[in-house]
Amino acid sequence: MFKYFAIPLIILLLIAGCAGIPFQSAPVMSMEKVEPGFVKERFLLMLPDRFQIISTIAFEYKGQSVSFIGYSDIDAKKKTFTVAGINQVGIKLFEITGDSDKTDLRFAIEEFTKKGNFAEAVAGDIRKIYFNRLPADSSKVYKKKHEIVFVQDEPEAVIEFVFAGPDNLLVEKRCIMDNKVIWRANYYEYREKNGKLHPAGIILENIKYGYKLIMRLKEIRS
Amino acid sequence: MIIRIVTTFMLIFFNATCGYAQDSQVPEKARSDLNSVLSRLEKKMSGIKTLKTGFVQEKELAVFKQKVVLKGTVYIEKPARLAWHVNEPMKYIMVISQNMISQWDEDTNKVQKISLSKNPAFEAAIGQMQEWFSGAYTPLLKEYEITLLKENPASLKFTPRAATFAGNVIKSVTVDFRKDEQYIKRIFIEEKGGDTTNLLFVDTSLNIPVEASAWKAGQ
Repeated sequence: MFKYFAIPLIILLLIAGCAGIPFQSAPVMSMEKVEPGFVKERFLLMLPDRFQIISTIAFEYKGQSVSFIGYSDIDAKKKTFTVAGINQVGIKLFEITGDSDKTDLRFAIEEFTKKGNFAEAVAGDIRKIYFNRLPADSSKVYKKKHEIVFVQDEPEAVIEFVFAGPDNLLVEKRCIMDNKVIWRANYYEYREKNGKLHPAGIILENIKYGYKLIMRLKEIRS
Repeated sequence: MIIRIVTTFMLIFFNATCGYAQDSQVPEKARSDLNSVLSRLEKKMSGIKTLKTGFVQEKELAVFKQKVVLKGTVYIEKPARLAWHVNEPMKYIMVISQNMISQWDEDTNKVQKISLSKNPAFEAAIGQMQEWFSGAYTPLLKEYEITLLKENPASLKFTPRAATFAGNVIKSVTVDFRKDEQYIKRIFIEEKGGDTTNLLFVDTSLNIPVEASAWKAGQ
């Protein structure tokens, strides 16, 4: 009898849980027999060192949202990047280059430069999403039923890397300060090109500053 | 911000081709040829009441040396309606009608509306755009030098004068007309930073009824 109530309830909960996420979450799989070292090594081999992608990016902040097209050239190995945003009618909005420390704003329309440090904010998000997607060797490992969590200590925070799903891929990277998550990047629907994996959907939620980036992969150039 | 972006777009795409200056440096014969071509184009375009055209827009960012390609459809209905539909790489609709601009995109799935009367700069850009599509080529601006690259079908190169709005960002704009000169075949924009935009109009239909759905921003 229980299953007749439980199944619709589970479906309802799943639907409710998925509301607002425009991507498929990785299917829930047991990770009990998965070796953490293997997960990390395998993911390292599947990560592209350098890639150029075109995405659409929706920026949500205080109930407002704006979207644009992003062109990104990322070298995750050298930790360098060049990103440009253009609007849907082809007008360039910004162009930024940088590495793990430095940021160079090459161009931005006036509206983007009026408040705060726009370039640093974009660069910071790029680094969070695309750099250091592998936990350090010194990370602690916690095996849960459906995920493996690597916990990496940073000078002022903790970065957690969550691996899950049938392919044991990185599904979430989050930063914790004072026991609170201040940002998280979620990776969805990995696609393979030339033997390397690219998430077709990324959601970066910056809890500290109250905004969200939803990135939809449109094209992998290299 | 959205207003500024769209205004810039309007200024680049429409102002650029709105008028020409009577440059004293240009020889009399060349000026006469140019005047004659512009009069001819004005006359030919004056018969357009509605327009539906596909477009392929290739944006080449100098920093990447690769193109971002946008494809879609433009609808125009004189005197004051324009719809810009992008189908690739994402769906986006911008509709300018009466005193309002409406925008929708599939990612946010929201319609944003902007009043033109509350945004004079944008209203001015729209006004110039309307004059362009009406075929009124009397000098609206004194911002460009025009070079007649080819007489028939016409090909015109617009070079912004120094210390103008366009002069700050645009190196040149080349406009090629299609064979019957009733509409534009291609607009090629070279920016000072090295980026280029090639806007090719394809499958252009003139004076056909425009479906009502074209003027709806949203799915």
